[in-house]
Amino acid sequence: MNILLMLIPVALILVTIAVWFFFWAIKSEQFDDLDRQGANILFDEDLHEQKKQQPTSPKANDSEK
Amino acid sequence: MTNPLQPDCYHCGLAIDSNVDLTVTINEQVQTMCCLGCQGVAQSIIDNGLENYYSYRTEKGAQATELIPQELTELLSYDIDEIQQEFVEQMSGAQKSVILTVENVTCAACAWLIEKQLVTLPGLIQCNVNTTTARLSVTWVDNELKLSKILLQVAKVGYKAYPFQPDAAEENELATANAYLRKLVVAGLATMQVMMFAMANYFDVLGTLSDGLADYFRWVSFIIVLPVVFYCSQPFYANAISAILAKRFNMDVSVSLAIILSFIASVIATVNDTGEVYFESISMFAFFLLTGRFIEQRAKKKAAQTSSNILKLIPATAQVISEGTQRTVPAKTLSIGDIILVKPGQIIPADGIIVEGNSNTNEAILTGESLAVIKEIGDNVYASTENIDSPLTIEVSCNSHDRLISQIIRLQEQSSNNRPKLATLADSIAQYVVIGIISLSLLTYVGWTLLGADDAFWIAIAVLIATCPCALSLATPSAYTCANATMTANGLLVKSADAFDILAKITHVCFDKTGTLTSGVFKVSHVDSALPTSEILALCATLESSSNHPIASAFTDYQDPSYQLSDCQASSGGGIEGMINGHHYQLGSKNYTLGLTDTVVSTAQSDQQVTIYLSCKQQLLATIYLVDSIRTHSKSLIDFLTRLNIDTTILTGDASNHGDYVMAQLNTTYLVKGQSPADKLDYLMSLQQGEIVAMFGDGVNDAPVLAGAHISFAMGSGSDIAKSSADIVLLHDDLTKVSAGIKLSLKVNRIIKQNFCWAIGYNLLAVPFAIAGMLPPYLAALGMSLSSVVVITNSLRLLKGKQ
Repeated sequence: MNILLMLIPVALILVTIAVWFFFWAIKSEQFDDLDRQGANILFDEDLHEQKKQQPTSPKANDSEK
Repeated sequence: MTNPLQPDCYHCGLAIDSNVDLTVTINEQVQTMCCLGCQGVAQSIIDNGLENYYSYRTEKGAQATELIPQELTELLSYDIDEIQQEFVEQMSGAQKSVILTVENVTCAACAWLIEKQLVTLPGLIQCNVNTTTARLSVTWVDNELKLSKILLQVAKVGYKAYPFQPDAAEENELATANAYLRKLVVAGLATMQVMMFAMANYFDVLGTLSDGLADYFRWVSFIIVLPVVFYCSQPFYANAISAILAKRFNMDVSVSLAIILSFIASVIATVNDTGEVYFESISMFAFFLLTGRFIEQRAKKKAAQTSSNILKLIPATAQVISEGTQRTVPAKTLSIGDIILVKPGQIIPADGIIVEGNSNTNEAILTGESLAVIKEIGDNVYASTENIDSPLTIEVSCNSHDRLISQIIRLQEQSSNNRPKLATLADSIAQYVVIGIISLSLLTYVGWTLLGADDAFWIAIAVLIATCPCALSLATPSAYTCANATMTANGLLVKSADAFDILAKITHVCFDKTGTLTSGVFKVSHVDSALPTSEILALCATLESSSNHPIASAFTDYQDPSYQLSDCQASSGGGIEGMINGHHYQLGSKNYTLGLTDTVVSTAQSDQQVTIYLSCKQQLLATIYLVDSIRTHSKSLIDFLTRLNIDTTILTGDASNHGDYVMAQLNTTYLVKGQSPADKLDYLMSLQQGEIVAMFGDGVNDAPVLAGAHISFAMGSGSDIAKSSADIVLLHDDLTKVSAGIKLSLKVNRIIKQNFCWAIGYNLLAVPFAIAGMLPPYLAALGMSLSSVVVITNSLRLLKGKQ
């Protein structure tokens, strides 16, 4: 059972990292629009096509992802 | 007339009139369209290669309407720097960024469509549509692109984007919701971890867990619980402290006590290695409560966002005439002595005196009077009223601060600060609960000490944990949140948290008349004529088709394409005339249509009606009676309230007999007419001495009463200030939803009481065991979660009325 002495602190560190990532996700507004992203994959293909056609505004496309 | 075999409009899904033949080829199939607006939008979607919108959308679009010239000029005024200051953020360099609200964004396909439409604009840096909030955020380079161009581009695919007035509460609600989410996650993860160690203790019946390991688990649990107690539970402490400072108890006081005392006890137990630890109960308790608070907060955030979205920022501009030239300037920069021109159909931008022209103005929004007011040279006109039929030149007579509307807004702010507070059901019960829990724990401690028990302290803590008001604190928020979702689905936007509590207790309801009980729009009530009524109405409709006088809208339903209008001319204060199919017709006042000059205006007409005359070559053809029609559902709402023994009052600014007519039609208990906004407020305040009052209104003049009433409703079509003062906004102006809302709030009250009964009942059941010292920590934790689940399930029943 001695391995527990080691593994529990390791688990705690992992939990802390998870919490940190979660805070980061909230801060970067990942939870602001939960309805939208699920459907985005449907339109993905066209975004690439658009990129080829519209090389003048690459920034705009990047920001949409 | 619609043909049952004809498909609905492919773009918006509305039925197509049989005489409309519009099509667009989409994905190689010919699709029918209902109107030019939809056809234009569909065509521009196809032209831009965005057919995918139609393949992937989950909801039909909204019917598209073409922008009228007035809207186009309005769009252009968004480019004026002084106007942009209010809502545009200046980024580095020439970049600007703005967040707009977009109407009718229903699914991800809409968002995609708008973004694709904008991406092609040169000078656009970034655009993003959020479908949850229906907001579009754009960043652009100002010298390459104009904001009006962006708005126009969005309009081309059938959406309307507006700058909006962010609700003061919105930013706050959003930050609080995110803070709760963070705390919720920490509490959740901590609960999982602590529960793992607690389980080991719970199931250690064989005593195989070595002392050293059990001790280790306790210390680890202690470390994990630290963030729960010192970070996650902060909101409870903050609420508890502010309640105690206000010399009252609320549920958070008992929550904080339970958390802090059991934490201290568990720490003592860990350090001294005696007694029970309750770390898992603490974190689970915090987790459950935070879940409730988070969901409640999310509903509040959504309500704040929706109410911001409906407060559109329409640019208030004015045409200033100086040295013979016209300039467009923002209305707020007008100063005394400026000469401004107001065209028919425009909103008057400032208070002033007419120096040239005469016209009718619609002052319903300020005074509640439904009839247009005749204005001549030397008369006062007021900001935010509408100029109806001919151009006016106005000299500005006061600064923006002294305008009539600013005075009303000040009155509204004052009354919202003085609004009477009602104690909620939950708060009044909390008083007893807190006192009960503390005295019970104390008695247990004293009792066991007197009996000479060594573990008196531990038993007292067990009592505290057993009576822990977890389910009690969830009882109201869970019910409110579910009821809120149901109300929103029914078209009632609830903005204040205690709306349900008050709504269930109302004893008196006051209504504004114009725009609230009545539609504020004239309808034909009857026609006196030798000719067929339909023919008369078609003639009137044709004459009025080019007019924007409020009376004209009464005839829009009667238009007949076989009548051709030419040489149409309007005369202010008189009427309108024109040639129809070769005959000359006049429609308007008696003097005007019959060519009379007598100044004695017939007084026979009753005040609730407007009487107009139609003549051909000065021969009277027909007398038409128009009335500000009562909304179809007003009667059923008043009947519903009367059945509940709730008194009703019509509280109107209109001094005419129309109020008596509406009262007679609807059978309200009282009528108070001719009231200024301050009079209305005085009347309301005197009513609120003994009664719980709900107020309905729509105009600027209602804003102070709406802000001062115990609970208030604003019509969705009403003025922005009314909507921002009210607790509940009727999104579709449907008064029947109000009776549904009142029924729901009665049900909410019932459910909350059931929840309390259950939660208190469970606590009372567990208390004897705890006092007897027979309640181990795991049973306490189990009981707590079970009773919370029961309470939440009970609250979920409120979602049943949701459509």
